[in-house]
Amino acid sequence: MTEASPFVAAALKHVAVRARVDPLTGEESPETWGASDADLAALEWALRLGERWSMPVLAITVGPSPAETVLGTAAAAGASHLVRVEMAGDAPSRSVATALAAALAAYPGGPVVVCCGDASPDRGSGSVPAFLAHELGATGALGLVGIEPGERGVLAATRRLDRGRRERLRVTALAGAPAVLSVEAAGVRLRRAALPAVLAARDAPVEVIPGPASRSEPEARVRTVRRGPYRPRAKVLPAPAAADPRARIRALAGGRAERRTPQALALDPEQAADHLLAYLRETGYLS
Amino acid sequence: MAERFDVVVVGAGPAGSAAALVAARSGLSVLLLERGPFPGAKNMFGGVVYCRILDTLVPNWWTEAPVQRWVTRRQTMVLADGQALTVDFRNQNWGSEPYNGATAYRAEFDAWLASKAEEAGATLVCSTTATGLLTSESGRVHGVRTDRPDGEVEASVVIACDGVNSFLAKEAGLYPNWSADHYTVGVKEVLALPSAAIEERCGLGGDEGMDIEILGGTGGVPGGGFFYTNRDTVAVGVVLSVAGLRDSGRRPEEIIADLKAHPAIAPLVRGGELVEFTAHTIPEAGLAGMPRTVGDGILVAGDAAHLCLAAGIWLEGVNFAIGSGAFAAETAVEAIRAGDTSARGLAGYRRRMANSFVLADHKKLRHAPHLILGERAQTRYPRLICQLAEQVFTITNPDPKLGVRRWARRAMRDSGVRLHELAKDAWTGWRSFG
Repeated sequence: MTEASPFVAAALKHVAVRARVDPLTGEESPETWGASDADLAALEWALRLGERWSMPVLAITVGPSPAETVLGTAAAAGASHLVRVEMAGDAPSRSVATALAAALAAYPGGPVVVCCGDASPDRGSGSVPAFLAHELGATGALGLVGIEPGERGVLAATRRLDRGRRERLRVTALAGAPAVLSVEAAGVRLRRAALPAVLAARDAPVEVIPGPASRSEPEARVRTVRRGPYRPRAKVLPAPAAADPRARIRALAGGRAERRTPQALALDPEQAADHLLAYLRETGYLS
Repeated sequence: MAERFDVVVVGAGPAGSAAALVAARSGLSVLLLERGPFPGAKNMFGGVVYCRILDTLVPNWWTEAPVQRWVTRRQTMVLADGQALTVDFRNQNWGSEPYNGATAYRAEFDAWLASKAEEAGATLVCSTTATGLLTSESGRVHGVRTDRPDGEVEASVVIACDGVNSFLAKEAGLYPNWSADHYTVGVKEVLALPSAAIEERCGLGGDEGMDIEILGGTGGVPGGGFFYTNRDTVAVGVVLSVAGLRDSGRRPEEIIADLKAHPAIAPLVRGGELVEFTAHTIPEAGLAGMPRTVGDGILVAGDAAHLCLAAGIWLEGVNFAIGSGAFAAETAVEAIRAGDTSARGLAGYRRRMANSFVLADHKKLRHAPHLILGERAQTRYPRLICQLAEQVFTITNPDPKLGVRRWARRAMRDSGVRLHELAKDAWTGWRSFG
């Protein structure tokens, strides 16, 4: 990237793309880390825009050093510059957006378009692109399923609306007046990286920028007052195996199943907690 | 221009990662290719990992290997209709260092072993399939072609650890006697159960585990069954002769359902929630199905070399994979240093395997697969054993006890076993297991 060359950016998040979830506690044990499908789609769109407009592509992520894994993916696919903003991995969306915006705005040339995934699979709220657009003073086009690059700085985008409708958007972006696009994991797949690029990406230099010093957040006009527990989606149970339809219905309804008689105990909170924990241990839910 | 490495290892399973680890530690440049998004991602495995072979490769491996349970209770179970006879061996020594066998999720175990290879300096590239060999006009292998753009990689030696259906070994012409009869299909269900329920049902404590190898219980299809305990899941399944399954017209999931409903197995799996159903072919023909493992510029290891021991009481694979992978790498290092990676220069691989358990066990047990998968061992002997046990343990008062000889004669008659067949199989068994 030359000193003052405007660029297309792809903002990628390092997330657990595969996790084991404890059915009792909801506690997650991440197993495989990487970029989400939506982020990979964002990277592909960024690469296409960069190719079409002859602009370099910068991949940026926020987090500790393991987050550089996603930058390796970006480098293998063709991103020419890699930036990691050093911050805690679990920073709130607004702080992430602030850090991203500061890093992008300070980068020589400035971003013309910033592509992001619409929401991360770790139950992300999808709010980073909107906060980022706000922080950059940028145009926001969110929830896109297709992008058609036109002349330099101009693109047409398709957004999915409720009930299967689509909305066509025309977006104009310039260095100094960029656009933030958030895309769904739809329409494109990240290109297959060439083997030499995959090997070279392992040694690709990553520029590490310190995150902004913590500062008190301005009082938000909308803030989360309370968040309920995560409730997994209902799951499909296999049909009971019994040959007799009545037995199948009984199995589904739980009739005549072996079970303990319910107990009603009047205990103080401490004793109640002990009793519950003992029951969970006894039934194998806690070890 | 193609990338170049000293050694390209195809497949980051136990064989591939062991090969990459040994070659990288010797200072060679090593590329380890894995077609899944991470090592272990494509794996189907339900069994016990015997890791004694790891002692030299990863000292104190048990302190860091991702293990589910250490197997301290081992059963061999013979099933007939409504009957089961079990040999149950418990050994608490196996529950402490240096351990014997463990159950493990291969997605975790393979990733761990591949990380050891990376630490040693190997370059791991995932989501990349080796689609073919680069060969010279003389047929000498000098690299692989992958499914990535510009995906050719040159190498002095290719180590094919690409699993049971090794396209690379076939392309290299190392499978002259390929036959479907050399394969079984393993089908497995993983059922989630609370760890306390597993421990109570199987009589286990803490991180102890149990494995059951089952003869019979496959509805007459040649094969066997298995049951393994993980921390909070159990794996139950069957291994079935491909030809036998085809001829039976049955579906493997039906056979597993029957096995799970058997009174000896049902209490162990009751209430388990199905979390995984997988199937995979297994190279169970032993020495008879083994391909050539050495070619010009290529070595074959692990399942690709059919190094899976299915001998009734011994069902082993991962240890043979690790052993063969390590030997392949040692041979490659030696050949590259000597400047001769032709089949002659790589001949030490076969010698290394022959001088170790890898080929010695297969040679010793070469008749076992045929014996175990035969019709008599599959249907008549389980019936004979269970009937004999039934007669011995049934009190028929006021009739007096007949005595073992007459019980045996009656059980043989009822189960259709003839003395000369029994004697012949006993002799074969003695030659194999004795």
